[in-house]
Amino acid sequence: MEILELFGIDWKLMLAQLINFAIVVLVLWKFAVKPLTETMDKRNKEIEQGLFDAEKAKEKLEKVEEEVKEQLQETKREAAVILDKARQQSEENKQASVGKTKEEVEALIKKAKIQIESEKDSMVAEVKSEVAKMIVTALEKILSEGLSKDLDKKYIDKVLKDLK
Amino acid sequence: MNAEATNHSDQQNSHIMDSSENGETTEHETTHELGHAAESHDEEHAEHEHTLFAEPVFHVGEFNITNSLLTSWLAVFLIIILSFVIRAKNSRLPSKFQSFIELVINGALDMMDLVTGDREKSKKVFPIVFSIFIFILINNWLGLIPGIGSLTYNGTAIFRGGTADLNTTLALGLFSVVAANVFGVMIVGGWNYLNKFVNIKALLDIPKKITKEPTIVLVNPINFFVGLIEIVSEVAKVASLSFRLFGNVFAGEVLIASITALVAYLVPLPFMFLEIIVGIVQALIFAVLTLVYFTIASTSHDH
Repeated sequence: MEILELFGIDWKLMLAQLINFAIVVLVLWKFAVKPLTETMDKRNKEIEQGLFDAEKAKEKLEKVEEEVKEQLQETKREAAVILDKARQQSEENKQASVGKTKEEVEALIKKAKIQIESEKDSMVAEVKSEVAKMIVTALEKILSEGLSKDLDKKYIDKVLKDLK
Repeated sequence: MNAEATNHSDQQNSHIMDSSENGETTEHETTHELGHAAESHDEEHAEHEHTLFAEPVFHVGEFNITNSLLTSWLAVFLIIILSFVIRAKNSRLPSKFQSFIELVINGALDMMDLVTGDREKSKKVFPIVFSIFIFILINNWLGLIPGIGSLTYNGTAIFRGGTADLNTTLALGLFSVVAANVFGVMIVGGWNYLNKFVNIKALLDIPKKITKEPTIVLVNPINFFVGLIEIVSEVAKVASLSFRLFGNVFAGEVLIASITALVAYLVPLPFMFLEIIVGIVQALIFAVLTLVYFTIASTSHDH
């Protein structure tokens, strides 16, 4: 085989190169490619899981937000109802209290009027009796002393003065 | 330089002719003498010659340690270091370095999917194909480092591109084809795989189906012979793989040496870039062809 000698073919060298290559395959596979692909696969899985979780969390969040919104609306509605009720009640209370006060005031006024009326009557009666008395005493005096012109006048003035 | 190289190989040829005429000399002695011839040749000229074969740098007993083997060991050493760095840096949150390596691995897997059409199959053959690529690539490039050929020991260069030696490429080619066949047996099964080459099934089918399709008498013997030709094609695969790689890398080294001998400065630069690309392309071709052989071997012959 001339060609083998021309190219320096030596089965020992070929074996040595094969061993070299076997070492390369072994080392590259065992220490580089295998751990790296494992890491990559693991990471891919983690990313997938992460995305899935994120999606789930987003859905949950949306749901919760919806719920919160609903609850808020309901609360608002309830509050409005309560407020309405309170307003109505206060209105009623006010009206009631105003009516009562009015009645009381009216009663008071009536009472006062009656009192005033009765006082006036008694006063008038008193004045009447007083005046009558005075007239009687005046008449008595006039009649007992006799009437002269000056006297007359004097008396009348005096009486009037007394009257005053 | 080129002329000298051819001159030198002529010398070798005549030398080999002599030895074959003698018929008595053993293979080892012949290579030894050849190495000697190269050494004496080197001593005459200051420039280092490129021989077709890798020159032995020193001997361990009967075993010649050639400069190509030394370079291959260096390549193996570098790959081991790279592997350990990759493992040391391996983490859940990738660094820039790790991202790059992951990018390469993912890219390689995607490319392999184009050939195999099946991610699982790609993952199965990935370690072998990827190792072939890396090993050849590092070997190709190590031979290109400027000045690596000038380190000499007893007149022979210590380093020569590992793939610029037919021993390396032939070993890889043989491995590639044999591994593809083993993979084929593992996937398809021994009996089915045997029928790819020695198509006994086709012959057995003739009496079974002859009443339905009479043409089978003509078709299946042809299929049988096609199967026999496949055996030849397996050998051809080894030859084409190993000589393609060896030829390209060796030619590249000779080319750069020649250009450097003509004009030492600046002019070899574009050729260096060219050879760097050739280094990648050849490694890629070898790896892809290996992948193709694996894929062909693992698809069953029956349609």
